[in-house]
Amino acid sequence: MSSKIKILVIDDEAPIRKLIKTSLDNEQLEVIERDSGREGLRAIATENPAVVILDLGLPDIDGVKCIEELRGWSQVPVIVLSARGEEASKIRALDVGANDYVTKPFSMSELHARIRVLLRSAQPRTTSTLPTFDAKSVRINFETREVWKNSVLVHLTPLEYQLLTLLAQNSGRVLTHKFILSQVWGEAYSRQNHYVRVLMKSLRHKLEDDPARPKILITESGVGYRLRGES
Amino acid sequence: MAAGVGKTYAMLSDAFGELQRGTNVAAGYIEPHGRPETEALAQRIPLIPTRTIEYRGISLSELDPDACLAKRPAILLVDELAHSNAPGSRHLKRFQDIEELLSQGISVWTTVNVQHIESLKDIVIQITGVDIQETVPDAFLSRADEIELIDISPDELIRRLEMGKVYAPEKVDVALRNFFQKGNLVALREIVLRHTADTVDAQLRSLRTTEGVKEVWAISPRVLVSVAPNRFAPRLVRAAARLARNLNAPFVVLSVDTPRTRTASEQDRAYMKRSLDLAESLGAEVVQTSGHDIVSEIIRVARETNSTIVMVGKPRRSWWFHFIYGSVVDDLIRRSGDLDVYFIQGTRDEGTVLPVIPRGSQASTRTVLESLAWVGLATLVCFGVYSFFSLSNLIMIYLLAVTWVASRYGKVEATVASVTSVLAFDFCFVPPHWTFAVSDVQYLVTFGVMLVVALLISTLTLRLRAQVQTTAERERRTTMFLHYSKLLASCRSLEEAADVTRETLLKTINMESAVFWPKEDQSPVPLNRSPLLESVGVEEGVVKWVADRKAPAGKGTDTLPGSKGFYLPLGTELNQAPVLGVFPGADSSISSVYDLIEGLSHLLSIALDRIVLENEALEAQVRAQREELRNILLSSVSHDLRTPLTAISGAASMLIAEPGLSARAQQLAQTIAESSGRLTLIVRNVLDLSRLESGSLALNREWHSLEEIIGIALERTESSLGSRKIILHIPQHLPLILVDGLLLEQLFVNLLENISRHTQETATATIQAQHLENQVIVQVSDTGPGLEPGTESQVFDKLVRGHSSQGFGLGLAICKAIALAHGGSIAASNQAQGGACFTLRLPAKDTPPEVDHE
Repeated sequence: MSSKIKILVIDDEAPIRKLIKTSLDNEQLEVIERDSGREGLRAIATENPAVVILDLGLPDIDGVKCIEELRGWSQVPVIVLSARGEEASKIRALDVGANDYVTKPFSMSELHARIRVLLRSAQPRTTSTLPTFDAKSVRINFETREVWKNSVLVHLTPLEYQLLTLLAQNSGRVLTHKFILSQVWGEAYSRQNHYVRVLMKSLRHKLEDDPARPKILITESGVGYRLRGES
Repeated sequence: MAAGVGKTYAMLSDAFGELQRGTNVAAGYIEPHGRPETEALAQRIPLIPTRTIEYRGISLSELDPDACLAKRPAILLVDELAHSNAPGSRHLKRFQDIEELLSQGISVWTTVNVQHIESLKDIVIQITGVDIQETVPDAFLSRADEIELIDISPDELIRRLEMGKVYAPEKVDVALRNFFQKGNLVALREIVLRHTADTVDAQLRSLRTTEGVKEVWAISPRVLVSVAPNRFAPRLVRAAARLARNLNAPFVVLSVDTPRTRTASEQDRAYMKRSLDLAESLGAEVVQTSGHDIVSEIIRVARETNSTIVMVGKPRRSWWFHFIYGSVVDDLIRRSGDLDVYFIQGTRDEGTVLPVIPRGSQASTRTVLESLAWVGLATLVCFGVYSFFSLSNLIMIYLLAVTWVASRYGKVEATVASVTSVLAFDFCFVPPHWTFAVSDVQYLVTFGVMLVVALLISTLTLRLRAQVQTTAERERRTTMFLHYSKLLASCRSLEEAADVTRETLLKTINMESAVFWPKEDQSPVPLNRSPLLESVGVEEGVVKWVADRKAPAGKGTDTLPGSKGFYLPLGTELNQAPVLGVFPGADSSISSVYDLIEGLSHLLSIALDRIVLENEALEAQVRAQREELRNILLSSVSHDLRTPLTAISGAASMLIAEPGLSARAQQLAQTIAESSGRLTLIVRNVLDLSRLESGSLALNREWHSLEEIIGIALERTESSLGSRKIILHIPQHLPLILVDGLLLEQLFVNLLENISRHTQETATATIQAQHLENQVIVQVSDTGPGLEPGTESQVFDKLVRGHSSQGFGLGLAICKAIALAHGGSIAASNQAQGGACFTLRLPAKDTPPEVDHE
């Protein structure tokens, strides 16, 4: 067995599979292709890939079902491929356990970045043991519960701090409104998406240089938010 | 009050006053009566030309409602309200013409003599002995805003008459001897004074009520009058109306459909219908019920309508009639309890004639002879058995003959048979034989009883036959209705329903018919073909009138009675009613089959409604299927296009990043990437627009922050905007807006992409938002070349391009569709300092929700 990291691509469209394979195959990565949900699930069990790239529009099983089934026995990171205008199925996929998504047509660099984030977080956690977290000009100290922007101490409300740390702990990953609501406010608030929006707005005004064009606290339109740590 | 008092003159001089004050007064019709002063005055008022109608060689001039409607004067003068129009006019009566003018908003001044007021007709006839044909319903008069009484003393009137100011000299003598007797005039004057006083009193009372003056609440009496199908009915209604008016009480007219009334003759039914129409025109509430016992129906309805006074007619009949049939009057008195019962005395011939002669049994010499033959046969039989039977049994044989005759022929034959039986029995069998003389006086009793029994049996037999006949007739109609509704139920188109109706009417009452379907501003179209229609043509005017007014008209009615057909509106839910036209032959009348046609029209209305709704449902279903197909097509196209596009742009972007590529190859790869990017955009726009325009897109409204939405749009357009400077003015305290976030984001993306297409890299874009009352206004402006003048509103149309030849102009069309879907608007303009400016207005009426911060 080679020591290469395996990436499994499940998509019924051969050109897409070929494109991903061409772009990813190198010394460290090996791309395995499957063209249906059934085949894909079997490959996850047998090949033990590090990351799964799953198209939501598969001919045999619905992508969301596929993830649900998968999560019964595996925690392998999943990136979902979906089209614009399919926000609802994206959110469902994320809610049932997908780790991230890219929207077709996507750029290869974007896909690379997502895979990198997932591969890193799959490694034994080193970041969470650190007392501080840095994202561009913002630094969070988890022990003192203090936040600096450009080395200036910023006063955050308890909810703002909670939201920020939630995003920081999942840095680079997209978090749905529903997930954020359940973590910050509690399960009972799962439908009040605007709570997150209002809190995010005030957080941006405190931490972003230009709150209307955020560089750290990124909006994933129709889906949720993501903290972008590195550039 | 009466002819000659100067009504026309008074009206004209008042009108002349108005004319001098500048009011637009016109005369629709003035009856000159050849009086010089009146004519002189009439000439000074503009006259609307009258219509001339030729009738039996005489030309009659009549008020022309259409000409009046065209002229639309503020005040229209129409003399002689009670006038009956010449045959061929639109309405039977002039007051109906006026009614139409009033409903079209024209004020009318008119004149009327007291004897023409419907409820006063009977009294006037009683006083003067002159029958009056032309009447005006009280309900019409009570609508008048103002009544002016033209009063003159009887002596003065007679003087004027004698001076020849009223009639031509040769008529004066006759007039003086008849209508214009002094006694008559005094009585008429009293009536008219009292009537006017009553009217003024009623106006005063309603004024007091509307001004809030509290009156002592007496239990208001209500008058209930029960009418039966006979000549007495209209008179009874008029009497009730008078009583009700004197008591200032409403009145109810009740007609009870009993087994007896069902056998009423056609003429009596016509009386009934006329009296119910009259009741409605006098403002009565009309109640029609059915039941076996007329008295208990009267009492029940009286209780239900809260009537305290019950009026019934008391037709004069002989004691024996009451003895046999009982009297409604006696019964009512016994059972009326706390109701006050009023009786109105009738005359002998006004009651219903009972029993009814079965139809088709007109006595003829032949049938009388036949009935006599039966009696003869009975006599022969009696001779045969005379020696064995007693006399009393012979009577039985005669009775058998009478019953036989009654069961086969009519009333006359039955009576003839009864009488001849008695005579034959006396002549042939009662001693002394062969003479009418009787030896024993007790035989006289025998004859009497025999005659009475014979008459009774024949009457009862005849009534039984009548009932059987009515039952059969009803049965026939029920079967017809049943059959008809079955046929209608299977109709799938309007034309089919019309054909079925025509066939049914042709079969049951032998009349041609057609259903007309009026269309807006078009002539009504007959739904079915009929040989009659092709020869006669469509009577457009009357059909349109019926459709608009939703009231029956044509032959047999008061409106346009000269028409060939009788037209009935079909009470559907539609705006303009379809019309059923029935064309009776020359010798048949509508009134006898009116009930049947009406009942049939109800069934037809329901069927037409159902067919229209069914067709609509079918259409909606087809539309839904088409929509579904379109969506399936769109999503598959979008999927099929997107996959290769993703591969192309992905491969191109990888190629660009490939190290060691020649500059030429690099440039080619760049072109592939850019073009595939643009193609992606076009595909996206086409899909978005078709989704928005199909109306199938449901807005997913949530409370959003405008800042965030614009932020995403800016991020998505970052690469295409390049180095263009973006200035944002979004107030921090702008409220949340209830929008579909993704769509609004797309709107801004399209606006920004539009800027990147039409401006130089050095341009500046400004996004400015503000909250004004119930609106959030966002302006997106740039410092580019601006819009071509005059195209500001066209840029939102599909496939309109700006200066640049790049891209299909779908982006702005999508912006407009999104703004409209949110109940907002978007407009484009050029700024004074140059550059285009797009202004988006979104409603912000709802209050944003409270946010739980802690």
